[in-house]
Amino acid sequence: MRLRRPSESVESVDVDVTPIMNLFVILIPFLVSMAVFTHYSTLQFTLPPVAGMDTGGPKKVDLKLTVVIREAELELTLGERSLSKTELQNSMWVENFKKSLREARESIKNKDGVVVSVDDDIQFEQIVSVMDYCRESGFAKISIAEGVQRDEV
Amino acid sequence: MRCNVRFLKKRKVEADEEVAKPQLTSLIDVMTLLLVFLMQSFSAKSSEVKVSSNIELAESRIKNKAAQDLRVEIRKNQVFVMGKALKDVSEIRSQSEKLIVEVERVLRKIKSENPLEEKIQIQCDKSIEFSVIKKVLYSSATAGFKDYSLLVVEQKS
Repeated sequence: MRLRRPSESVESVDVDVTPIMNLFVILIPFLVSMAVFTHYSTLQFTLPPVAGMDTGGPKKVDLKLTVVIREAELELTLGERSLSKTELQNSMWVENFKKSLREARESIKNKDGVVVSVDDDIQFEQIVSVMDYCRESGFAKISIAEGVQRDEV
Repeated sequence: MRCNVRFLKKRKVEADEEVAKPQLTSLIDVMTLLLVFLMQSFSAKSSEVKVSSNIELAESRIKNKAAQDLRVEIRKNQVFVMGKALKDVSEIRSQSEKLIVEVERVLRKIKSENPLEEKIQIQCDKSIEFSVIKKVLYSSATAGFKDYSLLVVEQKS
């Protein structure tokens, strides 16, 4: 039996990578030019009618849930009645607020519309977050209104 | 003499075999990762929306495709309508009236040229406070626009 010498071991085959490199050189610049890294979306909302504008005559007022955004808290109101308050300093405020929204929505007749009433100092980013939470709780129609200035007693 | 010739030939063959070949394995690894990442970011549809570099949009989880409507930009320092600067944000902050005359005038002119145009897209920097936004919205409503949308960046879940 002829023993194979180490020098006669199987020759290693070099893989020709030239075609795959050609492919990469064409594909990668094309994909870089078509890549989209930022996706934009739009949030629809409505405004209360401007004072003095013709709104088509007297209409039956539908009581909508109102989310009041203040600097330190979020308040849910229905007409004059306050339903709940969520302190923003609380680390669990997001979960508490979403829970309050869901409970409030179950207890009211108008389950589609919500009014987001905002104080003057609130930043836009926070308004968008609250609108997101309202939308995720099932409110399809969101209106934005000016915050009512409370008279301090 | 014969041994020397044979030795020289062997050395020449060995020298030819010692040509340096570049290591392409790591380059192919990087290219493959890049390819996978770029294929994931690939989009056949280009964005129809133009956003100024001077605006940092707020993030939202909504997934509505953004179209190019009449554009009002509330940047960090100025308010623009269709790319034209109209008023400084600091002046808007300090004024007591809700109406921004310059914005209302330009929007009313656009409305008179395109009576069917009712949609406005607000592109607002996320740090702008509501006192400025409400004055812009009031001016837009006074000019006759009824449909509003806010342009936001899709938040990655």
